[in-house]
Amino acid sequence: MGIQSISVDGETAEIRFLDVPTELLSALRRIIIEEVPTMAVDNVLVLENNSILHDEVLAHRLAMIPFYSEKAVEKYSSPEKCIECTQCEGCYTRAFLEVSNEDSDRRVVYAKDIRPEDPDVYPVIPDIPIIVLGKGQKISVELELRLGRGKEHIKWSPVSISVLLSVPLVEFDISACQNSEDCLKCVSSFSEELSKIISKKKKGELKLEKFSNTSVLRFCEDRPCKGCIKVNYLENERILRFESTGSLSPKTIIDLSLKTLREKLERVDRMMDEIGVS
Amino acid sequence: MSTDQEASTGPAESSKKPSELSFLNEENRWLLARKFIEEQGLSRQHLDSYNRFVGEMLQEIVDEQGEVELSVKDLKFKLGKLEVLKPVSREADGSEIEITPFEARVRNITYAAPMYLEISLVENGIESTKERVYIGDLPVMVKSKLDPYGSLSPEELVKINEDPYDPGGYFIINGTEKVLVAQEDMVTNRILVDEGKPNTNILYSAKLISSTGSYRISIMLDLHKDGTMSVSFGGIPGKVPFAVLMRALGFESDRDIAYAVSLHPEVQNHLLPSLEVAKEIMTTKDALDYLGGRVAIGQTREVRIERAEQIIDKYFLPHLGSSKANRKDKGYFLAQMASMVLELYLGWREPDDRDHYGNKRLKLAGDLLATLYRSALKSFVKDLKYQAEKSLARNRRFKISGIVRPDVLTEKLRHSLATGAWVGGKTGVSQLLDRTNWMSMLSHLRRVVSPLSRSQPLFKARDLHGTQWGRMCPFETPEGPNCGLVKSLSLLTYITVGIDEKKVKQTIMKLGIISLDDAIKESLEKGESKYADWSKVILNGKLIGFVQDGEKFAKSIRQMRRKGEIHHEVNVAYLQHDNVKEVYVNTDAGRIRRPLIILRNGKPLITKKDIDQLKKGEKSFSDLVKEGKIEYIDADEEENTYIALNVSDLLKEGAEEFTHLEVWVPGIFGTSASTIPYADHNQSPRNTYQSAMVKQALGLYSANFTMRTDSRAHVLHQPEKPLVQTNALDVIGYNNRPAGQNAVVAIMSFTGYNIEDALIFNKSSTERGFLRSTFFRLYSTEEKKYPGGQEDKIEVPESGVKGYRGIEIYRKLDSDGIISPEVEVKDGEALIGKTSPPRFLEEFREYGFGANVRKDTSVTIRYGEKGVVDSVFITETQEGDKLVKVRVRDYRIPEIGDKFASRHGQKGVIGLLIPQYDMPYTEDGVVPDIIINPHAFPSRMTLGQLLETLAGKTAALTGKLVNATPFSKEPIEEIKLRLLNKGYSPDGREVMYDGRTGEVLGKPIMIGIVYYQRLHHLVSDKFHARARGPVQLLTRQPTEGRAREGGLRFGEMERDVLIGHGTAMLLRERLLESSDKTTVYVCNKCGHIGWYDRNRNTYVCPVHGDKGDMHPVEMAYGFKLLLQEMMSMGIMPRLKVSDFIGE
Repeated sequence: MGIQSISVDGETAEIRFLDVPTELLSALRRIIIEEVPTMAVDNVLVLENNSILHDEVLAHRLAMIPFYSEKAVEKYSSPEKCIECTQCEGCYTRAFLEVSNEDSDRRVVYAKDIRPEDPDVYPVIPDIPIIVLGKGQKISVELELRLGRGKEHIKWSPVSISVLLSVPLVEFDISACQNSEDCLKCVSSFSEELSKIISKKKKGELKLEKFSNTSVLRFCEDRPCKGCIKVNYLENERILRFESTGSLSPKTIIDLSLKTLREKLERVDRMMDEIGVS
Repeated sequence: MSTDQEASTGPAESSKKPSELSFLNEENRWLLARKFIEEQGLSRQHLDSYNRFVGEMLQEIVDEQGEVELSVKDLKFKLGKLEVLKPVSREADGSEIEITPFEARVRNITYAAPMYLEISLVENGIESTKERVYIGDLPVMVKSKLDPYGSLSPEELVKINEDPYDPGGYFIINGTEKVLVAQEDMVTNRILVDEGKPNTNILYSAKLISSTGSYRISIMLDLHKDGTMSVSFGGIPGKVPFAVLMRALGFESDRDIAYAVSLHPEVQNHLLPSLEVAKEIMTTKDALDYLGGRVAIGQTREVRIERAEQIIDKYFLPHLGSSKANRKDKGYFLAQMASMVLELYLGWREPDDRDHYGNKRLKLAGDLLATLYRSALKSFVKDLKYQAEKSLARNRRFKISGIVRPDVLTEKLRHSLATGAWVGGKTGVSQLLDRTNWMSMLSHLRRVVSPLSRSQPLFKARDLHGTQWGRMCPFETPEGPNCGLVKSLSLLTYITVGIDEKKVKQTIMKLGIISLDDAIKESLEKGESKYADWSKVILNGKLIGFVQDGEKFAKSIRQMRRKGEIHHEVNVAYLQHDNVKEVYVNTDAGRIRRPLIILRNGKPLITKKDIDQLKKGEKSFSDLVKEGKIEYIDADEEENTYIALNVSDLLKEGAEEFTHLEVWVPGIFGTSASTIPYADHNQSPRNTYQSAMVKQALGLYSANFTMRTDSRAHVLHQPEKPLVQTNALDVIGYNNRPAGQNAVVAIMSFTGYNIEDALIFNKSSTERGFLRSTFFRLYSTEEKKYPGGQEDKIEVPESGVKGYRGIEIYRKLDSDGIISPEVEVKDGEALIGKTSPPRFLEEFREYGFGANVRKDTSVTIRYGEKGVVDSVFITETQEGDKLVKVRVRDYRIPEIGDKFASRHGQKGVIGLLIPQYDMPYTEDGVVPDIIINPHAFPSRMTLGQLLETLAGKTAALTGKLVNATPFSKEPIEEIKLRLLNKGYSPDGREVMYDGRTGEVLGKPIMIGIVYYQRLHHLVSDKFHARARGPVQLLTRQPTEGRAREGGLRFGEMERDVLIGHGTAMLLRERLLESSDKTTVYVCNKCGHIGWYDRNRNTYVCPVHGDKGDMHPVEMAYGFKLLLQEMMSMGIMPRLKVSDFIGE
């Protein structure tokens, strides 16, 4: 049981697990999406808006902007604490967006036009267009941001992708093929390398170390290679891959998700204790 | 092939090798079609028709009236030139201001232009005074030539708050947009022969609807079993022997009649029985006397003859004229009818096909307005006459402008357009323009309805006819009672506006026609005829002469048309059947024609150069028509053509036989069906369903929606143009005004919440804004002034006002009584506070208190709705009353129960919203937006959607739109290859994992991108339940319907269930206790219902008075009503009262 490899490339991270129960990894995957907190716009106070977009549409667009939350996750109270209270400290931070277009034909308002109160909470991607203002149009809004979780609304999810994959194992026996040429051709459009190995080894099995998408291989398995190739997915070798929206670094996401998982398990443990099971 | 040889004899441009035809590939033929549509616009038919109406017909209709004789001797009005000015609004202060369509819509004004008519008074034959008077307002069609804003550039249109792409073609009546739906009609003035009904005396008959502007009379000529023929028409009751009528028309001798009918001896022979019948009546006078005897019974011979002449001139074949001079023409025409019937009898011709589109005409906005205008002008003139005579009776002199009442014309026109009730009892002619989305508007403007009785089965009239190819959309028709009767124009159609047949006649007479008169005269002299074998030339249904070679004659007319020597609207067809040879020349209005590429010796006349010039914009589509390279063909002429579908047909053997090439085959579809990608891979009813559904999709219905005051509207938030395109989407404006979004769709069974056409939506997708929309509803009111100085007042009502709804309701109103924008409101709350004076002054005097209690007439939010005030419009009506419109918007996020559909007739409602972490995911981490159940496919066979899934995925992966136009799309193999190149399985399936467990799913799942539409059936508009609530006044039963907070009906079948189960108490509870239970006092002595005397606090029997034995009886109020209703009819119901059994 253990971690085989971790690779982080910018916003994406890939972790290879060996002999870790699927249930645990799946929980981790889901926690990454729904439990890891980030900062996002929660309330929008519209002071002025004579643009084409209605207040609620503008608010929705602002909510979709990922905010840098690396420091905020420490600084602000957890969403569970904040959900009840109205005037509490350390729950909300504000940001302002005030743009008016007096004379140009069109003015695009970008995420970078948002002026945050807290220098640690700012739009991760400055060039997200929010709205186009026509001549004479103006928006002036006050944003309230707070920590939240993806299970409440997807805007608080720190990731855009989070998948748990199994490593495929290809079993092959070229002699069983009806038309080995077609089969190899099909496989080669998946991977030249695999095709070469199959035609060389004739019979055997191979674990795919590098793969992105096994759909083509499954297509071959179903069609030209019927009976001579079988794709199995390994139970004990799993890959967890996720891509951050930028609000949190992959490392923080993993840290926080593990922390959450631990807390959850501890909670279960406590509950067990309370009813005296253990 | 021998083509090369033949081609060398032809002109230079046709001597090309087949390979050189490659310039007419799909792309360039689409270019041709696109240029055609771009040049025409999508509501051309209505605009053309209206333009002709204002350009020519308007004056013609005035001229028809001509002179108006007054009852006073030697005094008459002469109507002169009619002039229509720019659209204006006549304000309360009497001023006239020019208005824009936008202003008309917002202020509830009619977009209409004043008409001025020159009227002169003629006294003793001398024109005395001449005046130009205002006679009324003519509704102006938006974008027509009367609309001064019709020709503005897009930028200028934006400035006057118009959608720059709006096609026009509709009217604005009292602020609402109205379409005059095209009416499909049988061709007029044309003889149609048919077999008689079985088990009647009639073998064959010829039918004709004779129509000229004001008249529309049907005439029938029947051939009976005994060989005689008789005629029936509106003017004379019963049937008239054919020969008698001929004699009355001046054809006295049998010989005259015989030769008028036909030059064929064989046909002439069959006239014998008919002539035999009329042997008693040998002269014209006798014949007229006979006819007169039918109508003027008991009159003198002179009177009878005079009446008969009148009838013949006025009611018999009025389209040929109404003077004595036209009788000969009428005789020839009648003879022609007889000839056709006999030819049918002889088996020389086939019965006419009534469903053939050559025998149909469309009545468009202009024609419909013309009939309306004619009748309105008649009443205007009548009124003018009446007013003039009235003032003449009082004093001698009057000013014409003083007695003209322009309201008569204005109101008649406006009333018909506003209600849709037309002259002749037709209803639903004018309809409210459907602005659900862009497509629904286009489809409404291009709709054609057949007035054929909806109740009658008429299976044949509903069927798709061969001649509808390229004229009517084969898919777009409603299901149910209107199926096949309501149709939609195809994309590539042009409808004739009609041209003057006299000019055409002059031109073609020079092409070797022997006129009818000459031919008959000559034959009569010689006793035999060489013209018998010649071809008949029939101009707009009327036989005008003979030509030796009909085919050659038709060809030469076509040549002239191509050279531009004759108008392009002329169509000619040479039809031969056995001995019958006929050339039909059509110039009339309402024929649906379609453009076709002309071929000579199997080679198109269009050249590569033409295409290049078209591409560069140096040439227009109509230039090609002018050059004779493309021509418009009507359904009659199409019988003479042999049309190649594709260029490949021209490369095969026998290609020289083709006369034309389709411009662009997908042009046979209408606007709605053109939205379907891969339509040629779907089961045909599915395309019909989508054609109906596209009109319910939410989208951007008009670019100026923020300014518009539609009573209700939906706008989709982030409409996307489809990744999988059809060629037409661009040109019909769908890509600029889309109604849907590209969704990632997986086809799988998951959780079971998508069975029976339900859809599983990704909750996270909806949170990200997927298919969100806004609903707008308009509330408006007017501050009316009443006669007697009373008026409404827009204000915050005070608590003393009658019907005051409580202070909470008016809390959000400003001090001016109107709510502010961006205020949240919920149902019951007032948007505009208003008080009105009591309706009847006596109403309160009767009770003797508060003579002037005003009542509350505030506008409140509808039951069950909520929202935010979007905008407030405050303006003034034409009467000078304050008009307030408040638009409320409501934000709609997809929820369980909302309806969605792909573009393949696959509709469904959301069954479950699943968050992203529970949704299945692909190896790339793609999570579907929608999961549709695989059972939606096998029985419905909408392969198009599966192909769209593949194509959409390819488009998303490659970043290029895919063209999926039916018949001319990119090959599917190509798309599969591209998928493979991108590392995806060519069958679109991907390995997926269950988001709940992280386990790989057993089989790869088909996933791709499909364009989904949100349909306007949203649960939030429909869900409804009630515990207690309002009851109806009359029956005291719960009200019906959601809008009235009604109860849910416990119907007959539900009742049956309770009876079946023997649950008597429950039955009683549902039908009585929870409905209209009431207690009635019944007299035990007589069984009558008594009443309550408040003063004495007793119940009184109607028979026994105070001495009655009154007992309370529980019954349904409806039953009490029944008893009373019976009493009102003189029936005396008695109730036998006994003790309550049970308990």
